[in-house]
Amino acid sequence: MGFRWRFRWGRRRRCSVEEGKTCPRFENLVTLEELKTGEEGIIVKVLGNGTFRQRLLEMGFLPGTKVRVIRYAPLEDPVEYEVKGYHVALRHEEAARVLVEKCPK
Amino acid sequence: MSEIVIALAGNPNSGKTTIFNQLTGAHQKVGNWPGVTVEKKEGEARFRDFTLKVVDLPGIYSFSAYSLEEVIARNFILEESPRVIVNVVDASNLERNLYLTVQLLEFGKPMVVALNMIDVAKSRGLYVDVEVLSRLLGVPVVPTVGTKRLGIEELVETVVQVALGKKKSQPVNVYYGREIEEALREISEKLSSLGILQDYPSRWVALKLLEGDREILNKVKEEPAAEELLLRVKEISESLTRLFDETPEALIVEARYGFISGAVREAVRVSAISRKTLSERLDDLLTHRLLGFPIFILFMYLLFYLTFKLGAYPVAWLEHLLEASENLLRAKLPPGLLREILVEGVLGGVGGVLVYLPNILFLFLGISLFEDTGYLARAAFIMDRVMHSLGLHGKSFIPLLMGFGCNVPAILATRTLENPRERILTILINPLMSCSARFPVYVLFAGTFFRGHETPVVFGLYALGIILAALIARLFGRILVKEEDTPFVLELPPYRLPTVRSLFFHMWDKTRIYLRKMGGVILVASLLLWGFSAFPRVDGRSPDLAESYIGKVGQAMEPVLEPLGFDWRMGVALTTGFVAKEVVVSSLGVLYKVGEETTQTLEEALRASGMSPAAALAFMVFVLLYVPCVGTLIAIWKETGSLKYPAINVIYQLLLAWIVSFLTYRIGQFIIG
Ligand SMILES: Nc1nc2c(ncn2[C@@H]2O[C@H](COP(=O)(O)OP(=O)(O)O)[C@@H](O)[C@H]2O)c(=O)[nH]1
Repeated sequence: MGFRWRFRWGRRRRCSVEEGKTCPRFENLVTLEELKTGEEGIIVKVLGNGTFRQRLLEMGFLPGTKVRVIRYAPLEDPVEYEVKGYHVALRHEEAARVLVEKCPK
Repeated sequence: MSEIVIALAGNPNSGKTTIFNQLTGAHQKVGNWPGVTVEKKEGEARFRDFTLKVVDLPGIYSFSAYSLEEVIARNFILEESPRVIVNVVDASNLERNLYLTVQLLEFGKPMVVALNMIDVAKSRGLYVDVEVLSRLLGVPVVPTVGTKRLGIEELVETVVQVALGKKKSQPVNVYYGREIEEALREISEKLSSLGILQDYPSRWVALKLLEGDREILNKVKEEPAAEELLLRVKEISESLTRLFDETPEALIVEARYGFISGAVREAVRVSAISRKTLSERLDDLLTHRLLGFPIFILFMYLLFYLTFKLGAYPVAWLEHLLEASENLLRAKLPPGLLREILVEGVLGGVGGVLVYLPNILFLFLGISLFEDTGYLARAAFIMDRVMHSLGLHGKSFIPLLMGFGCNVPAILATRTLENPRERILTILINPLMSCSARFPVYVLFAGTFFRGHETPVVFGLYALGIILAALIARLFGRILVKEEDTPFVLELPPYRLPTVRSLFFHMWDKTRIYLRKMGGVILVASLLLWGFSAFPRVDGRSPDLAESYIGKVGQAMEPVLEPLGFDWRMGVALTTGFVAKEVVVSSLGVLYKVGEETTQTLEEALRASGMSPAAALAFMVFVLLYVPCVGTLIAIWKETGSLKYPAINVIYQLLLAWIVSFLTYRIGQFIIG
């Protein structure tokens, strides 16, 4: 399994945190808000509490999940992301509460 | 022949409505869930000797108690005990959709998954092994394509077999990891030994308690032995939090998604290398940094044009029809009270309901088109920044824009907003969007007193409405109960080509609500208002407008209106404008031309009346801002489900109108005399 994984992704540089695993060796810890169009990150932690946090988790913003920035809205806010195979927009104030490990290009 | 109750559950955009329509065809009943304004749809499907009663649950992402919809859906499942739950799942967005599925499994009730949109999944190179998925979930899975009616017969057959116990449906228990499982077991046992909430599945209640679900906590608190249990739950939660450095509710979400990832890995085969789909390329254009806005404005313009310009033709036909009926009645009936009631009261009332109808049909056609294609979510995406600065949501934009045509359909259009707070705010400020019925008043007064400067005056009025709406939105945003911190999460589903059938179905669905909910009330209100203008009788005839009840009310208001520079005739005209704003013009016509030479136009009569330009300006401002017409108030009442909101509208708008008109008049006196 490990071999096949490496084989498939061998040519790309991988994130220091693999999708689906939370191995804490962070080199590029930023908030989701700081990612630019086309950039990817692996979610490390969702800050905030209560309903707010629960909702984001339930929509798939879970630690270990890969997020990609699809685009910024014409007025910069909100931002469209791809997570768990679907597209969803968050405002900056939400994105600022999601910590991600930025993937190298 | 026996009846089987089934509940239809699924995410928004999963194709649930489409499946519901395919199952039930025309046999549908729309009502409300008890005590709330959320719509409840029921329908019937037949299979051999069986009648299936299908209850459409609201489209939701989860079963936590955040929104009314979520609570309604789960209470129905727990309390009404449907024989089978049918879960509509979007195969092309499997992971997120299965999150609800997993929660449905937790109820431990017989269930069937309708794996919808397999055509879309296929086109993206996703192949779902139905057998494997069914084995992993423990419930039958039937692939469907809702729009093409594929798999619907199989779905019905499977549901019936599950209901009869001929086919197995044993939802699996998601494994939450050793510590949580232990906690669940302990809480479950405590629940049975203490006899708490025994009607609900105990594992489910235990999960909800660990999740800190407010509604269930409140239910438990009512039980006598609750204290001991809740104390223990708290202990367990705290020790779990210490152990994992994470709250139990988050651990539970993670475990569910962990289960889902495993299931997807086993059951889904990905063949194509993901390339940019047509939908994504469309989005590159439609939400483009520079082109996004112009295209959006174009679409909004088209929506507006469709609703009000094209809608004007059927409106004209309807008016002809009403006129013809009026003439017929006049010819057939002897003059007298009966004829007047029928012609002016009833026909007028019916007219009051019908005149909105074509606009509403076209508006809903347009909105259904935006909704079904997925553009509505993009419009919200583009506009959210602006709307958010007013405490509103991106989706508030369309209802506000529609308000410039007519506030009644505009208020119905707020249904697309899910958050009640944003919805109420959007409704409350909607009447400040100057509807087209106010336009004739502006034309008359601007044309009379500001000849040559009509454009800036009228434009200024529209702008004033918008600016005040923004201010009021911010003000009410502060006053209205601040809701707790819920995030803005806007799903952007892929673009889809809707079928004509589903489009018209959606349009009709929304229009029907207008007719059913508002038609009757508007009719009665129009009749009553007509009554006030036709009584007291003078020699068996309608009195002069000034002598009627409505005229007397207008005159009684003179002292209040005098500081604004208005005379009693303007007061009477404003009062009649409560029926519909355009009536103000015809009332002014009746009032000002009385006793004058009949050749005089209304404009000449107004000028001759000695009204100052400042008062004219103040009057236009007043018409812009004062009470919404009766149709709008009824729409607000019915859509919010409470008389509180129309009352708020009447009060704040009257105050606002008075203050702003007063300022306009006084300042205007200095500047323009
Ligand atoms: N291609 C495809 N489109 C579908 C299918 N089912 C529904 N749709 C379309 O998906 C959109 C959303 O469907 P709807 O039933 O309104 O979703 P709801 O929000 O879950 O009620 C509509 O445009 C439907 O025509 C399907 O199986 N295949």
